[in-house]
Amino acid sequence: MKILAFDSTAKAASVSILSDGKILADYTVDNGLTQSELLLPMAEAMLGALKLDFSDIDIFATSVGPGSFTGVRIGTALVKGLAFGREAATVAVSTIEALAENLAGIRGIIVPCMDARRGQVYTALFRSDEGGIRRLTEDMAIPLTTLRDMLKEYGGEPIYLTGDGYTGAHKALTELGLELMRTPERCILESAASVARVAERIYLAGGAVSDKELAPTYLRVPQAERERLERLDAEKSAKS
Amino acid sequence: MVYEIHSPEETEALGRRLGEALRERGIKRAFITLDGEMGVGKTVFCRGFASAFGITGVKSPTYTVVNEYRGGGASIYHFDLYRIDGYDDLESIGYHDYVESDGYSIVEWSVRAEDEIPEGAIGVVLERTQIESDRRITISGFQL
Repeated sequence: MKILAFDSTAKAASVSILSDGKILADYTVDNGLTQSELLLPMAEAMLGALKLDFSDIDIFATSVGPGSFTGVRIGTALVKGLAFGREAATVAVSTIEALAENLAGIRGIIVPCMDARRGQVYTALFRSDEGGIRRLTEDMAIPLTTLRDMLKEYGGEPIYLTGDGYTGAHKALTELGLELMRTPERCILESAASVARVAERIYLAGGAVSDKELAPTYLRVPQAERERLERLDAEKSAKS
Repeated sequence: MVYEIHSPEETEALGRRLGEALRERGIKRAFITLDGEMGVGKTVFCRGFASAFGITGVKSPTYTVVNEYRGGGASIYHFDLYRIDGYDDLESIGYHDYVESDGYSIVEWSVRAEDEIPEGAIGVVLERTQIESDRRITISGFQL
């Protein structure tokens, strides 16, 4: 079972190919160039090196957010396009969950942090031990002070941050009185290899979706979409 | 600096001068607020700016919110934020992704993003005068 996974939710463009639990190829470009122009040629180069074709891929996966709005849409649209018309499944992976996967094997509380601006982070809490990684909270957009209060409950355990908001969050949370572990640099940035590993688990648990169902997760809902949801809700309650 | 302008061609030429000045000084990223009432020549100014990079086909972003142009090694992001309502809206159009990448963000109705205007922004204001074809254009935050 071969998975082609993408991550474009932060600054880098990342592509990975996983086959039955093994990463065959992993490719990340982080030079500020447009992800929409990078991802497909990167995937083609990797498939070529492996003497594979898009038709050999069983599952197309991408991180669907939260993250940069543009990046989230690039990844989602790309995977929709690749899966459309093929007998292939698609899997949507939370960017936050993929980041936690970067630290798989470490014992402690894992806290991915992506800069959500205005003093907020996109985050969630995970516990990692011999049994694997377990999610403790949903993905959230919260102020760092709220995150500090949540983390106080886990004071006795080693706490590892990760994600592109690492530096800012590490500094701010330390200043707010939390004691944090230092995360190896290689484990900090968004990576398609982690997306692929999480996607494999989701697929085996029956969580694949159709290319039509694959959708971005923004956590913060744009005004136009909020209004549409309110309208739909109003129509629904008017009917019932 | 205030410029007294007598025709749309001169508005376009001033836009071009600003584009050329940024290009010649190797400034690859700039945020330019572009203000003035409807029909005063904002799109014409932007067309002139784009022509400094050999970019043609500039249209008003009123309905598209943002138009992206590339050419001459430059990117231009031309925004009209009139219909943007609140921070989440701003983020949903990829505002920060544009503003924080190399390129020139030219922003109409920047008041909608008041708290999110980066430091060192260049201000361009177009005003009508007593004479129908004349305009007064004020450029602040940058010396041509």
